[in-house]
Amino acid sequence: MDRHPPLEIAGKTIKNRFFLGTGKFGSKAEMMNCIKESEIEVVTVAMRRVDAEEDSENLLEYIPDDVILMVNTSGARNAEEAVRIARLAREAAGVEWIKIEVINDSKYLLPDNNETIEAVKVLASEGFTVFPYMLPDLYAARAMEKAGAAAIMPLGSLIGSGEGLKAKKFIEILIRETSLPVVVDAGIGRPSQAAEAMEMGAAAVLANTAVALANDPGNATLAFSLAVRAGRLAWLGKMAGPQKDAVASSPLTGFLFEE
Amino acid sequence: MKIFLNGKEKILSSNISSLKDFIEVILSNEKGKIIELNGKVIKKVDRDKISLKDGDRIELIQFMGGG
Repeated sequence: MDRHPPLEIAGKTIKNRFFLGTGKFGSKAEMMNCIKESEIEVVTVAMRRVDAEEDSENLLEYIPDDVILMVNTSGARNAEEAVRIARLAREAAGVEWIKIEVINDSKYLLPDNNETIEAVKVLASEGFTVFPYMLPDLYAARAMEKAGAAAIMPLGSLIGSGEGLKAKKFIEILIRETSLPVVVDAGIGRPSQAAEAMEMGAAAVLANTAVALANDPGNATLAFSLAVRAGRLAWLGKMAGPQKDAVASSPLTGFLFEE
Repeated sequence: MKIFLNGKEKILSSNISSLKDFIEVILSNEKGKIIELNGKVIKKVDRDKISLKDGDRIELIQFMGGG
């Protein structure tokens, strides 16, 4: 039943093209169940200072060993800070996959493409597998490709908004004009939106808020995984396009009651 | 002795001299915690060898849920 070829990035083979963010879940156990039940293969995590008084449990214990850990550089306001977080993740836990996220706008939480390009240059040259989170802009995408990004992660709409593919046209241009896998990230609120991204040729979709804050995150994760898979198959299937007028599906000859 | 923990000034009592002592005092469970001293990650095995000095900057970091 597995008809679509897996996504291959930096020597890893990924069958489930739905990537899951691990923030905002009600509990770590709930997050772990979502990963296991839907066979999630790529998750994102963040790095933060520990509040000594809080002293919470180790998140990594809730992420199965065979799942690819992608550390985001959230909290970085410029390239330098993003680079520092990536190096820390590598040194502390051997993490090689980095979602470069550089944000210095607190209202719209938009990624700073220029700083992100600088971070891609440094981290790719240090051998990291980098996934820049970006505003879908063709010039920026080309610069990231040239700098050695493994994929690009354009936003569908504002982080956490659940508004879906507001930037659809521009993401489509990136899919057409760059040779990198395009992972649509941010703002994906429903499985149908994830399917839509895949139908237009995205390589994968990442969501977090929509799942983590769902009434039933387990069902939501599975729904996203299936939608992403369906969208991928639709992209590969290349359906017949829309027609202006009716086109019969059954033959128009040999009717039973013809005189 | 005065050090900086996660950017905030902290006065240490005189019985704390090594990084290991300090970690034991402030964390009840150090599993999964990353400790950085003056910008360098310090592995667990090296912690008792390192003595703290005035003005040291210690960062306690861990992986958290994130998108």
